[in-house]
Amino acid sequence: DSTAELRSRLDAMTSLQGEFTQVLIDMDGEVLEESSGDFAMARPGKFDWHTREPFEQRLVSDHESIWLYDPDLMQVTVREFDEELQDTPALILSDELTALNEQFEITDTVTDEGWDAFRLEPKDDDSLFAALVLTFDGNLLREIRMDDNLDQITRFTLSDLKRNESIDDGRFTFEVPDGVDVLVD
Amino acid sequence: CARQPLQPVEDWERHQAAAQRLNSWQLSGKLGARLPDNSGSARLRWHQDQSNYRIDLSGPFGQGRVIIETTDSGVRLRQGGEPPLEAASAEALMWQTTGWRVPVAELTYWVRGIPAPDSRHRILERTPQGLLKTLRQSGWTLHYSDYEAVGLLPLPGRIVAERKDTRLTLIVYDWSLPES
Repeated sequence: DSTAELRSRLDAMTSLQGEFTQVLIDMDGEVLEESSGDFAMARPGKFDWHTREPFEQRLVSDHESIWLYDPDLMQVTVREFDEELQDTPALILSDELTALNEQFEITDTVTDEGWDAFRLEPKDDDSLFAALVLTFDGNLLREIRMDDNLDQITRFTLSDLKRNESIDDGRFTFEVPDGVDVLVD
Repeated sequence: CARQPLQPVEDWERHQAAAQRLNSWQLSGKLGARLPDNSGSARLRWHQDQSNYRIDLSGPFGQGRVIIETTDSGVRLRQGGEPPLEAASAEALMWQTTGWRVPVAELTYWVRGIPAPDSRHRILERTPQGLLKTLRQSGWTLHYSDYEAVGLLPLPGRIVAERKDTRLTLIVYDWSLPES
């Protein structure tokens, strides 16, 4: 079934790194905002999501804490890694799979390009998004799409991908640059 | 795009009137908030049309989105998975849902680099071009920097607003004006 199929795809992906472009699209398909950067993910629970253009922002998790760094705000917010899987899509990709089907209804469809699109809809309704769609080309994750519940879509297109290569743990810890305020949330 | 050099403001009253007349604009950027028990940052899109506005805040992945917009009966806040909330003021709604104290009414002027018109203010410091650098109004202290010429008007790219233990930082990446 879809959950098992998604689980096997995610299980087979011990790590993934590459570039992303992010677009924010409104109901009529109009692009409202574009940004890009690079990312790395490693199971369990580690990720580094680094937006570089048009502004810099970095979200890092070492599976114990999550840092949100905003250089232009000279601040980094630190909070505990929690199992609230719906917090950010990056969590879902990198975290253990046990909670996956407890928290989501999962279905899958085949796209025109012949790729597998897995749709995850949160079971409890006060979640931070309405649906998350993970699109795989075989074992390679190509796209992450998040439909928020206010008729907007955030879509990440992944490229230049390296899968299951070892990633130095240093990438998933955040050294606070001096002069930056640390805010524990 | 290369930043045009800022022209010095010859006549502050004329500049202020021009900025007040600018009542339809859109900006995208980031809002950072530092409060004793609640800090964070959100991506910000603000659409202003005359006295109506729509302020759109969301997390790094677009999650946790909050929209505050004017309606004919007041202000409404929409949040994913929650019923809309209505109130007389955006400040009350923001505080209720995000725990951030954001003086939205005044910000519609402050964000243009001018004081809000109907309450006393003190300009503590100006930039070399005569623009606002430090302003005090309604209990807030505003620090301005990164001005950029947008059309004919120099508009701020960075605003830090402080009041007691609240510190808001508004970064503007892009201004767009109707005629430009």
